Amino acid sequence: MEPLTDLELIEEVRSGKRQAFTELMRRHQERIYWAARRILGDHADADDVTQETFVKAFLSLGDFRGEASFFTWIYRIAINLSLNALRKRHLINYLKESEIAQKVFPSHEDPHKDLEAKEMASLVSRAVGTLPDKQRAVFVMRYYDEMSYEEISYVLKTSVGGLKANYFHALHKVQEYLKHATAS
Amino acid sequence: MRLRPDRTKLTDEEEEYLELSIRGLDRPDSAPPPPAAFWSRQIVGVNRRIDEATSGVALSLSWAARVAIPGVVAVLSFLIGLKYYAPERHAAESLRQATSSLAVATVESLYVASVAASDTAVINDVNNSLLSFNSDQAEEFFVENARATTLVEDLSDQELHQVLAALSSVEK
Repeated sequence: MEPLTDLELIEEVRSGKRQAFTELMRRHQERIYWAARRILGDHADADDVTQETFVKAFLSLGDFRGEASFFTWIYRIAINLSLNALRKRHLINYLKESEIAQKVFPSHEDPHKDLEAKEMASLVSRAVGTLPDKQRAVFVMRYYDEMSYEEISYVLKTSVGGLKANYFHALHKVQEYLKHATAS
Repeated sequence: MRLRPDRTKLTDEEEEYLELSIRGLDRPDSAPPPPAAFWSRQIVGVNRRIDEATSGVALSLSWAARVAIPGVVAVLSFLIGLKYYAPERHAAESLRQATSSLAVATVESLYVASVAASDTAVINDVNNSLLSFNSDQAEEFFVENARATTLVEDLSDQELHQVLAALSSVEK
């Protein structure tokens, strides 16, 4: 018996079969997780974004019209949540730098442990971490997930021309980063 | 003048070349992947979150936050406004305060000036400038503050009758 397509599973979910949604999660959770992790660079945050993505998808499944594939639809949710998490993190980092925030968010991180974690990350992952949010998202979608510009355009609601420019800038920055890193 | 290079004119070949050069330098992702059990735990976590989000308490809280509380606040505001909002009374009170804060001589001169402006405009002037309060308040004000001699000296008998008639007829 052939496995059900995503659309058939969605119909089952809509008719009340919750198990069908678990199957949809099984199919797509890894790709969603890795997209979030490459953008956020952190396992715990990526896990949280992945879970939030599927909860949102379940709750708004009624809005899914099938204009794009189910994966592209949830991928879009995941990217938006990841970018929101990044913005929140930038804000917290900014606050952490202030004197007042030091009292609110006392840092207990071991600097040696932090350095070790950085060493473990691959060069490209580190280079991706230096990119601005939008370029980072475009790079992850294009370089790692090999999505077409049209799909990325659907996810980020940006013109294809703009995306190409973003990707080009991102490629240059990553390439420069790698050149410096390998030279040293 | 140095022009900004047009980055959007990236050819597919250039893009591919750049991408390949990066992939050539890229090392395997050394960040450890999560253990196999993680994926099952994640599904359990998602299902738990969905249960929480769709439980009766969550839905009723959500409904309360989006519908019930704003609705109750709106109805209460309307009822309170209906019961206590009295613009005329406020206006009368503010007029009384304003006029009582003026010197008697000033009020008299203003009144006389309005009367003197036009013989035919007496009633209109009084209506427009002074009689936004009711006749009882007007009578009380003139008894307390105006000198009858001023009125008698500055107005003709006919005008005085008109003023008195206006004072006794307005907003009764």
